[in-house]
Amino acid sequence: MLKLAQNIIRDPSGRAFIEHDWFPAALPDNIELEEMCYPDTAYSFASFFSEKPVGFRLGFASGNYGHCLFSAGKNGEIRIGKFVTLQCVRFISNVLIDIHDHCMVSWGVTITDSWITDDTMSLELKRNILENAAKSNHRHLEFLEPRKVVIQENVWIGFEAVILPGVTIGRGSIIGAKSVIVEDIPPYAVVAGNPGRVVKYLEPTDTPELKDRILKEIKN
Amino acid sequence: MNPNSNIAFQPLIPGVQLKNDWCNFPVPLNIEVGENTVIDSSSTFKKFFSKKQPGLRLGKHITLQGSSLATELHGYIEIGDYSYISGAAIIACDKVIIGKYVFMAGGVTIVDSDFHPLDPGERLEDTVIISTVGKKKERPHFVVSPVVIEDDVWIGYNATIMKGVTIGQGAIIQPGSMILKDVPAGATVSGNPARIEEKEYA
Repeated sequence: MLKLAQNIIRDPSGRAFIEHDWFPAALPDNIELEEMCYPDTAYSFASFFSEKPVGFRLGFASGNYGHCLFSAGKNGEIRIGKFVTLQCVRFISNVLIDIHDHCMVSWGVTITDSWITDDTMSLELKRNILENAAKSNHRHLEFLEPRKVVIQENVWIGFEAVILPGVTIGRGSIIGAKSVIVEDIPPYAVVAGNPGRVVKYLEPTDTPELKDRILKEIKN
Repeated sequence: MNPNSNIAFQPLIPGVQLKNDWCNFPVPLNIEVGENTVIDSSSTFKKFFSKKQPGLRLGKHITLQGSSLATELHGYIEIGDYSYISGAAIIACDKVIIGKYVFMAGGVTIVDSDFHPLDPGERLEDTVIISTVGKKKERPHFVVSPVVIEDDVWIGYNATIMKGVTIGQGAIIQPGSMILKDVPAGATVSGNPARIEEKEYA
């Protein structure tokens, strides 16, 4: 049986609940929780409406702390890798937000694959988005042209930063607190400001050998 | 209007469970508090992990409302008389010193550390140590540098004050500012990164 950092209990109809959860809802069916992860609370999925076979995945030993919000539309998908620490992060996905292993995302960060683009700037199309939301029960905004966001391995995102659609953040980079990221960030960059600018580059010290050694220590 | 929905300030007394508080744990014992200093909820101390004696020293006539005073094991926070902290988060790995007559508006964040190493290799190791399967061994070194806010400083909404900064007496931090270096006494600063505003003369 799957061993998580929290206990999962099932009601007679098979719905999964987190033990001692303050929010009295079941977890969605289309999520994958890997071993030793910490899903925290079902409240994080209060606006999760993904209809994908697997709309959310939380990797080995990763944690959702301070109840993050995983908002997803019917085509939305949020993938969180292994050893990822999320502290009160807001995700808004209508296509894909992909966080690779060993990332840290601090409090108040927003990561979204959905915002208005040049193609949706017309008044009519913007009004359509709001009218369609008003017709649905759950009132989720289905954006027309979401663009996937990829956060590569070992990226650290500082508090209250905003990551906008279509962005790929390269491996090992640091996104400074309160930065707003509108374009791709190269690997091992330190970025700050609005819009985010590279202020320096780091030595790529996170070698595969180092990673093997650290992961071996955990197993022993 | 329902009087019960108003904020109920209560005297802040070490070790006491506040009345009608939605937060069900008492105020920590290792704090020193002057007279007429009040608070609205012990949720302020949800992340107060200091083992110092005292880990928090508060003067007289201070108002703490909807704020968070967070410390690591060796963290220490000091706040002077008549200061008014409303909706702010102060996070101390080592030391945050706030003077008298300081005002902080909602969303203000003050941190005295980066909390994680910058070096990618050390950072990767840190992600494993702080994970659910991490062994409780010593974390890699990261930068910690105390913050000092002198008397009569006013700090606007959503301003952020980073590690190692001293803000001189009487300075004004405009809303949304990102403070990365010292602010001289009497200056008005704004922006991200913050710069000194030049005074306009008629």
